[in-house]
Amino acid sequence: MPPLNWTADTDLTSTGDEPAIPADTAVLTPQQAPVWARLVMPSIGDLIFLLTFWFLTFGSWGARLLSDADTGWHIRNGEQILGRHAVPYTDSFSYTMHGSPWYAWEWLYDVVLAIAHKFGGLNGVVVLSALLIALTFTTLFRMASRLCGNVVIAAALTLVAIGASSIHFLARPHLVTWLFVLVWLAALDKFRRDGNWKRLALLPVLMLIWVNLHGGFLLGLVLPVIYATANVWTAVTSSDVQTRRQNWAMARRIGIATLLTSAATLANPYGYKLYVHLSEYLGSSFLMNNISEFLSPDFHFVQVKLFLLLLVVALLAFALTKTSVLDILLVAFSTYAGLYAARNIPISAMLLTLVSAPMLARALDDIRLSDDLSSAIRRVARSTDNFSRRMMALERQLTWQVLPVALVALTLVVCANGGMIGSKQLLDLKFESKRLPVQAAEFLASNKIEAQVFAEDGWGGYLIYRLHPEGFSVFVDDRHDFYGEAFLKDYLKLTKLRRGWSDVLDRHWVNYVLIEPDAALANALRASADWNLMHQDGTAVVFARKVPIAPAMVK
Amino acid sequence: MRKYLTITRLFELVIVLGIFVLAARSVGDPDFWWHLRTGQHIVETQSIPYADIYSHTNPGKPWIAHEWLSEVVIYGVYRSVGWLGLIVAFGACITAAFWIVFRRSDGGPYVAGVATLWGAIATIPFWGVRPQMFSLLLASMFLYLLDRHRESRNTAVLWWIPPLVVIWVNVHGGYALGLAIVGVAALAELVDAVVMPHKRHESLHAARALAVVLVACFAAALINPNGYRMFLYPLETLSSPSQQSLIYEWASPDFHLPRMQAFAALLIGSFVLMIVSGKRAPTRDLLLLVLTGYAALRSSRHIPLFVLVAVPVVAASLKALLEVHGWKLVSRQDWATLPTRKAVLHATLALVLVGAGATRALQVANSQKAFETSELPTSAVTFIKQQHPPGPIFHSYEWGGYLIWQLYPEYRVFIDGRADLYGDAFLEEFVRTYKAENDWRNVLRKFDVNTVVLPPEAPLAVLLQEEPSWRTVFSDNQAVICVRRDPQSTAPDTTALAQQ
Repeated sequence: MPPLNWTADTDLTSTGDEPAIPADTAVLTPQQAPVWARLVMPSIGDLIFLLTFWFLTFGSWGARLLSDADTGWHIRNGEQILGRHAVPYTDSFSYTMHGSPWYAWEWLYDVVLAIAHKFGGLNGVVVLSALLIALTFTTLFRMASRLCGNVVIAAALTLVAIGASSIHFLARPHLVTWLFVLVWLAALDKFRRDGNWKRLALLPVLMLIWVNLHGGFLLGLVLPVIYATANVWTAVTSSDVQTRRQNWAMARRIGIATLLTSAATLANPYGYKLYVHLSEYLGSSFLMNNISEFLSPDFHFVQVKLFLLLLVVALLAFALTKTSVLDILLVAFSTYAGLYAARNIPISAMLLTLVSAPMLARALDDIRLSDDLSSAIRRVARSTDNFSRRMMALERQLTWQVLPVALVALTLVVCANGGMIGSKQLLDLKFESKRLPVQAAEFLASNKIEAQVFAEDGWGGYLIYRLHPEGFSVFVDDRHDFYGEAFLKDYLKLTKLRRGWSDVLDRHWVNYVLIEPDAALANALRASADWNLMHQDGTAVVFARKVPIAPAMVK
Repeated sequence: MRKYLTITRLFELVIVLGIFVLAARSVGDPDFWWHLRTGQHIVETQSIPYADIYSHTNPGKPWIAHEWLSEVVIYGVYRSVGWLGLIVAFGACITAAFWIVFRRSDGGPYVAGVATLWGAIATIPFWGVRPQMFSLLLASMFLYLLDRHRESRNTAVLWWIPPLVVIWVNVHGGYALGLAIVGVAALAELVDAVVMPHKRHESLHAARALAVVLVACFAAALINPNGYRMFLYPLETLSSPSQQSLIYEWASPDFHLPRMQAFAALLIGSFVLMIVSGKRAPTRDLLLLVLTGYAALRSSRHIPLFVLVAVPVVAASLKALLEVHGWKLVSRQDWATLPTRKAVLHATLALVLVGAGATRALQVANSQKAFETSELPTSAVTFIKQQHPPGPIFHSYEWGGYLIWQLYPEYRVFIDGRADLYGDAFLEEFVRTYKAENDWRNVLRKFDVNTVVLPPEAPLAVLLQEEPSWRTVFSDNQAVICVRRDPQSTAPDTTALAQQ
């Protein structure tokens, strides 16, 4: 079988896409940048960090990080773990399923959140998340610019990736997965270049941490498999004996590393049972079709359009230059993952950035040197290339990162000071009272209502945050994997007002209903003779059963 | 006879009839019924309506009956041949669209056949007796003509396009896609002129011809009952956030659904195959792939358009890929003298295939009544016809068309598939009322609704069945009918019947 024409990558010894660092860089900027410049001049990487971090804390995005109330139960769970010095194995947040087995597989991140919360309240939680996001995208930029040797391409793609990923900028554990994915890609990429097994040695060790931080650790097993598949493919299709042998060897090494990494995933409080639980969760089509962030993305949103832009750029890069099996596999994987569920878009966007950047840079080179293109295009390519070389040379000198460190330090000081500098309130981040039942929660607290309250899943995390320390337990919250299919089907009968909704309220001993004023269930309760309206504000109403079900009946 | 029946011809027949068998399906589109009624209206009154006649909520509101010609055709076929005629006609229309795609595809009958079938399967969710199918066929024809022009550089081919626009603008609002395709073709020639200097003269010449044809197309598009207003119509729908989010086909595709997997595979596959084979598609196809890919991801109803563009690209890539690997691809063989034995065998097989296609069409036509009973509230409609509960009525969006066909003019509908007529604010108000959110009571009051016909799982139906001021007079698996217990109500006493 003759080889396919993606030979660019099959020859490992020449490492086809090693950054084309121009030899004349030094000539362009012969002298070192002066010390003052290194102190105060931000590099492009610094700028990306500064802008992202600023917008996510002091800027207008800060409150958005708290728009998902999940964060609330993560914080309270972390506090419980810190207080008891033990990871929970059963639920203590709900009254409906109190004491049922619960997999708090993100326990370590919950602890981190609790510490951040103790340090600076919700400000601290937002600052931690902003720091993670800013670090992720600065790392993405640095990796992309190292891979392609062209800061202009790297910066442009990173900015689009930030825009696309902003669909999931939330103060939740998934943020660490983004950073870990980059670490994995960096290690795998280095290994692909030199075949040195030591590059992979870190993966099993890091997995010990990742598996306890977020369920996305599964990507830590999927990504090496994609890399190994590319090696196997090349080994099978190549006619060159040397290439075959090298690729088999690499696939074998990645395989061993993946096995060790898989073994490391067992170092979590729930052992192999975590896999059983995750496969039930991710394998449930009911859950996948009803949890909003698992739904397919809506291409009417600007973030999703930016994701599409990255896809088109990747295709453009493919059209303009030769490519490798690995790149094709990575792009196909990111495309399908992104189309399947909106929550995968950030990871997909990062993968697409890293795949496209070096190809675009190569394509730019091709265009610059091509004979059969019109001179205008070549001229544009040449000036872009010159500009980015100068920028790259500058970028290589400005490595002190003074400004990012200063901004983070300043923010931490503000945070520790209750969000104030002097008498000026700079940071005051709270759960949104427009979307969450802030006043109604106060009403519950002042009336000492502690259980048997129905409220929708999206509000559960907030109620746990606000009321659980006072002894309140919820009907349901966002831990859909914990509540499971049967319970959630009951729950949907209430929110979608299906037949038998009042039986569900009886079955779960609900005496109070906390719900949006316009909801169908609110209308049904208004019409019902068995319920009284007790509280009403712009965001929520509270109904109470006229003849409460005795608490003694609660298990 | 035996000259024609080569094995590749037979394979072509398998593909064509296979698609026909898939495409011959029961009439299930909720909009079909008001198209049928409108066709009847146009034929009987010899005039095209310009204002709403069907609803009690928006009577007299300007209505652009942009599919009037389709409606006349639908009604004409229904009157003269019945269900069988409709099913065969629209099945043939879909089959013709894909037969053209098949002929446009490279790589011999087998590669082209596989690619065409793959594409056809991706579009199955959108098939039906509906005016969009004319758009599918016309778009396919446009692409064929543009392909011919690209190959032969014969400008005469392009002059088939403007007359087709005249038909298109009168059968379906998708005519704008035709104009867009021609525009993209012209743009692609300009891009080629810039990127490939050695072909500049040829490309510029082609671009000029396409631009002239495009202008002619715009002029041709004016030949419709609504004149220039038809230019605004597609823009209105595309820019309406409510229609785009509430109507399933205007929303982004849901890739959790098994029936979307063929599209996902084609979307990713077309690009991956193009890359792997190293066979770069022509600029026009690249541009169209990206644009129609975006359109399809934005609104799943554009998936068929993407398929029309992607299938030939896939076929060309597959061909290049297989040839690199030393495969010898069979080319289409139209003329061959076969031994009698083979000719008889082929003829028999062909007859069996045609017989299978015909049987399928007959079977689908015969099961239409049963299909209606299982999918539509037929018993509820019979109940309304017999008992005459007091109007005006409120009902689910999907049933509007069927109620127009069955109950107009005795009852006028609350809403139906003509979302553009009703407008965003009204659509949203309707949806919230259906879900029993907001102040549904006031909405029902505002429109003096006295009877509600809803599927049993509709939140409003659940609520009304427990409301003391409403009474349930009919209930089966398909529908619940609730009537207001107003003293002024002119309703005949149906309590006795409900208690049976």
